[in-house]
Amino acid sequence: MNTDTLDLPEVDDAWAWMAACEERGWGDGLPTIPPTEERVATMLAGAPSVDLGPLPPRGVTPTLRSIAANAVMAGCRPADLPVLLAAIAAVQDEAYNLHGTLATTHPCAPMVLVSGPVRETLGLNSGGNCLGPGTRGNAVIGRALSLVLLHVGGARPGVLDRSTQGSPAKYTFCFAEADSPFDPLAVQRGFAPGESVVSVMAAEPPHNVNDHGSTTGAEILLTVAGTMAQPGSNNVYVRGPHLLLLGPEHAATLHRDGWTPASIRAHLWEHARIPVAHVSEGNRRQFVEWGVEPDGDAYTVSDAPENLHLAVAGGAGKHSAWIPSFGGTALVSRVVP
Amino acid sequence: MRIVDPTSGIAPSETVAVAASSGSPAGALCGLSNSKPGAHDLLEAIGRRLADDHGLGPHGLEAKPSAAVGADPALLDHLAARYRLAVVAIGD
Repeated sequence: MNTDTLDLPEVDDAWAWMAACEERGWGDGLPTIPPTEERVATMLAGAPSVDLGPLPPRGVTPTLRSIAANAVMAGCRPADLPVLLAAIAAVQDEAYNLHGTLATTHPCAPMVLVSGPVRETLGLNSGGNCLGPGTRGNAVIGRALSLVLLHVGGARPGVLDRSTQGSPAKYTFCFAEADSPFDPLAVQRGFAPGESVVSVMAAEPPHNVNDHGSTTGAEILLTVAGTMAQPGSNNVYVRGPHLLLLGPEHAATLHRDGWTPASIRAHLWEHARIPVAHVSEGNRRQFVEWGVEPDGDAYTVSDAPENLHLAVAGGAGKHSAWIPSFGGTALVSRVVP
Repeated sequence: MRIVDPTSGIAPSETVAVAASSGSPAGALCGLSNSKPGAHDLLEAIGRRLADDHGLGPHGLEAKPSAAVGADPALLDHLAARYRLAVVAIGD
């Protein structure tokens, strides 16, 4: 018998298993699948080896078996495991600041964006409602990552996860990027076309950008800039990365008009500005303590145009999303093993 | 039913206790600020009350370099070596 196994009383129905989890402080409040040894062994058949470090705040290093147990609980299929492993490796990058992002009062969640052929292999949704429910892979991979951080990392809400309000994204926040007229995010970040890549960021839930009226790329970017220019974002003073997730119709219009990811970034850097008058005096003092001063009569939305990442996802309709971050984090990408 | 414990893993290596130096005043107390607005004021007020009401002190005040990151282990070792007790501000 392994030392990581537990003998629990037989449970005769799903509700009894839920109650057993609740007693132990396991789970996210939704039903889980019992991680029996047989199911964990099935999950691990053919699993790649990865080198993982300790997970804060508890400092315990996950094993493949404990990761697989959480994957089973979340509802993963064995084929999902490599993407989950890449995501865990990515959030362990020092630049991601896992401890800070798990313990903060901010509502950030570990966003997982999947690029490359693995999207098709796993049937991940990059189209309509890709940020919402309805696709197993999207739902269970993001959920499994959250469960690993909860169970092995110890980021239990109200205890070591000190989020003031939390967010629905903490349950699961995983989606695939769509094919688009622009280079995929992974290629923009230097990965080869055809590689399967996972990118993570400690992110707020998406902020919708509704623009049904604009007919040119410049007009769409005016709406995007206005959506990004909000004084309540961490990015304003903690700085760090943020993501513009263009819906395919907005992306097509921008591409038609000659815009590129680089020119979109540069344009939004210049035009997404927060007027000083929109920031309270108390907050201005706090921004100064963080070393942030206005540029003329407005604040920038982060510290450099390169911190705005750009990808395309979604279905029909004239919506895009701006996804701000915790600020003190990085968008980190890893190849799926 | 035998399951794999989802909380299992390799425990961190044993921590080494850092003893307060013999030169530390008995009862030396530290406030550790999380660097959020108001944390310094709150901890200073708590320090004064602990000194006035319970004779605890002297009172020091330290802070994380940023509210966005965890406390560096070196800072925690420094506090453990210098103070007998630390009050940590964890709210906003």
